[in-house]
Amino acid sequence: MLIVRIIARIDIKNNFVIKGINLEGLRKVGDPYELITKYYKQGIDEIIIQDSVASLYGRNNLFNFINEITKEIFIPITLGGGVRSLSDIEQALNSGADKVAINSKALEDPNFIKEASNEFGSSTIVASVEAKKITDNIWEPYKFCGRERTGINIVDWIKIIQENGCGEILLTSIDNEGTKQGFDLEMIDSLYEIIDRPIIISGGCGSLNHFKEVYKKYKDEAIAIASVLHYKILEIDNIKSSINEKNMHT
Amino acid sequence: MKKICILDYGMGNIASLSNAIKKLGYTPELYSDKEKINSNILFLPGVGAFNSAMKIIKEKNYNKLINSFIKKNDNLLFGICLGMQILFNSSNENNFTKGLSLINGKVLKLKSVNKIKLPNVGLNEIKVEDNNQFNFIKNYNKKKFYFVHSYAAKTADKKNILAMTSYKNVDFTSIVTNNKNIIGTQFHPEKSSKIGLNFLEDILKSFN
Repeated sequence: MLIVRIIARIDIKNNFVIKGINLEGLRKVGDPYELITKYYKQGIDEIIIQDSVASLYGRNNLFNFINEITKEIFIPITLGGGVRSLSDIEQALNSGADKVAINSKALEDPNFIKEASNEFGSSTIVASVEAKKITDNIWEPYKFCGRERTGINIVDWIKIIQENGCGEILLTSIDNEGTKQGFDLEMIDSLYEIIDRPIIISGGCGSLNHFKEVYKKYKDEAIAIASVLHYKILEIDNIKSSINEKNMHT
Repeated sequence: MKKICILDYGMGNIASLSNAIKKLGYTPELYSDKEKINSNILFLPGVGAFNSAMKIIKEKNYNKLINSFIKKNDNLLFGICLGMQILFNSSNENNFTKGLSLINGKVLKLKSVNKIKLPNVGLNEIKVEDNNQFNFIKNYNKKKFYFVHSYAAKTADKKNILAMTSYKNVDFTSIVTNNKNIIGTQFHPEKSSKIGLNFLEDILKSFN
């Protein structure tokens, strides 16, 4: 029996954990060290740390932080935001990260995913796709935390990142992100057949029902959450017990 | 307290393994070339491809080092993930490559009649087999550990299997032993939260 992975997504800006709506209007919600150790103690399965401004300014100051936090928490850590070169990835892994999430740089140079997975192994490379609905049944991946369009159809993009050997796909709906209105099932449905990698479904979780909806349809995929943890709407224990098989029919 | 060493052969994240061992109160050393291994417990970590790992191990003569290390019965060799896979005879990852042949069996791509997603990544249960030497592992039956892999071991002799795991109805060896002083886990105990740390601690204690 494989168990659904629940991943806390921690967006960081200037040493604070922040949370926005549709990746905008960022609000400070706490100290990264405190929140991550708290979620670890509560039983979160993995952590994604996203430097939310790094890709805009081409810097990444989270390495020291990763180095410190991995002395205390013993679950997989993915670092995203500002990962723009093989040496960035090497530095991230040397600081104690297990995987890196790549978005903007891959959209500028799709070959980067291939180089990175050849060098560090597919299982280290998470392709991060942050997409917005453009028109009926068409979604588009965005660069720089939802700030810049690419003009690419998400279907084509997913084929490219898979061919280039990413190990997982972090699929974020910009439209639903931070809204607490539920995951973007319409987008996931439209892509599910073509995705042959493990998916981390991200963006929109606001209640236990949202988990159940996703789990019923896509029980093998991982789920990323942020608002429900930061704003203390749900506890990790409750989430885990609610998605046990036996509770799914209630 | 016994001395612990991690073989740093350039394959993957050894910082987290080192941190986990420190958290348990030990002071692990990283083995880098030079002298003999002066520890009683040697970790063989690894993330990446089987053929790349064996290439480095042979170039640096680590296979001889490992062979002489395990001749001493109260030494323990502990392989994790790729470090467990290279304990076997061979793998067909990228191309056919011989392993350390310390345990009989081969490493094959996870495959089923139905299409399955690879890598297998996430928490999965282990089913523990009876074993006198590592009796305490029974306590971890049905416990969940963190896996990330596309290849897995098919162990030749049942007596070497300490635990099995199933991914999409494909069964593979998740803990292996030579029933003496070698143990290997396909999962990452250092990435499996508190249960993983407890598991590591139990094994280290059993050799203390």
